[in-house]
Amino acid sequence: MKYVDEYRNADAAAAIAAELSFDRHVKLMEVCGGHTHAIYRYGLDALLPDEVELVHGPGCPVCVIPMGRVDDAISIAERPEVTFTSFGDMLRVPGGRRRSLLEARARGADVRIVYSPLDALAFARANPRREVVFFGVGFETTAPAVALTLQQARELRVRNFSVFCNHVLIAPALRAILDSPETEIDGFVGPGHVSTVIGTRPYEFVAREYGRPVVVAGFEPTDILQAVARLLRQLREGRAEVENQYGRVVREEGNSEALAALAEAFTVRDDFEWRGLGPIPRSGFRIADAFAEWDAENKFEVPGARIEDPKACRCGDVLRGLAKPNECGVFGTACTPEQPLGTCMVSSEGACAAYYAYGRHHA
Amino acid sequence: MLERLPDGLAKVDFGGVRRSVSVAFTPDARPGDWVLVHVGFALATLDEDEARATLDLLGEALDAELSA
Repeated sequence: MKYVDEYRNADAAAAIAAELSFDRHVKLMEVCGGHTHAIYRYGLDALLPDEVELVHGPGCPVCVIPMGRVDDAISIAERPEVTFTSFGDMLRVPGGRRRSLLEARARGADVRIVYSPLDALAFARANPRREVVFFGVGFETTAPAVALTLQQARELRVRNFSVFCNHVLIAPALRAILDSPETEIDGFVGPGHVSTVIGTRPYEFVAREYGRPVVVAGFEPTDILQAVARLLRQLREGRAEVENQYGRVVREEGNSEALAALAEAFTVRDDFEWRGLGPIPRSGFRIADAFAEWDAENKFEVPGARIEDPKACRCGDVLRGLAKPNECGVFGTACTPEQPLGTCMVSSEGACAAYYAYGRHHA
Repeated sequence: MLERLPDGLAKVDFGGVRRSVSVAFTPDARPGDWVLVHVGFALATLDEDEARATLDLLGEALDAELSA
């Protein structure tokens, strides 16, 4: 496809990689799970010199949802009047006692996969006797779609539709990682698609307050290698700036229509719990008061329990860049994509799933 | 993007698969534009000048490698 194939040119990738080197060990975090997958799918890790280490960040929306919220979702889905709709990869995420939405469906709950939240709303309009709930999961990339769906639900007065909102914000998660005393990251490959919505300005604090460079990058192999090259150049020259390698779709100011929809439909929560990172202040969206009627947390009682991750699973360490997936004791044995223990093995954007799929089974 | 449809929708060709997507967030997108689509919504229109500029940098990297 045009504007995709060109960025997969193997000779160009090798040419960039040949130029990469650094005079000490550097750790660069690719924030986005989409980048993690591209790196292993195309074997970019093998092209980098030994001193340049890539660590994987928290930018996998499915991965960061804590088990307690999965149990809340299951409790809503098990109500007889509810049709529970979700993106496919949330269905296999285990909650407490390793139960998932998929198992809830096997026991009789009406759980359905949708491609878009608008499909869930259309299903609600076509089935007025069902209470249709959409599982809102995702960063600012996905949240605008849900915001617009809420606006349409209100406009069309669809009373049998609601959203169980678990949307999260990327910038507070980066701050939490930078504030963590155990994490030493020299620079960030900034997330691409979330930046089409929020722009590049929300990362300015990383450069200004923490002195770390950020290069927002596209998802093709040469995009990521270019971003790494630009990060190394900044580090070599002692600069810490926000650069945009993905200018073909990311604008500095983001997408004003999408940001306006977010501002109308959502309010930032005081704090939200992340798997592995714990509660992070002002890091998640709830549904705005003006849309309270479409908030599943108002409509249905949820247990709201906080559940610790299974001890054997190191998802939390993986999400903070402290451990590589293949350093986890259950990786590829007790935890596989078919029978996952932790979220990082479930999601198509999870680092463990990437290591498993692309053969990085040994540390 | 192939064509604009009513109700803020547009028909988009995903390398062979055609689907209608919302263009509520890309009101200026026109047939013939390349759009970035996520969960049924076009989030951005591809800027062809910027795309070429990135490719030019790739070309420079290649040239440098070949002449080295």
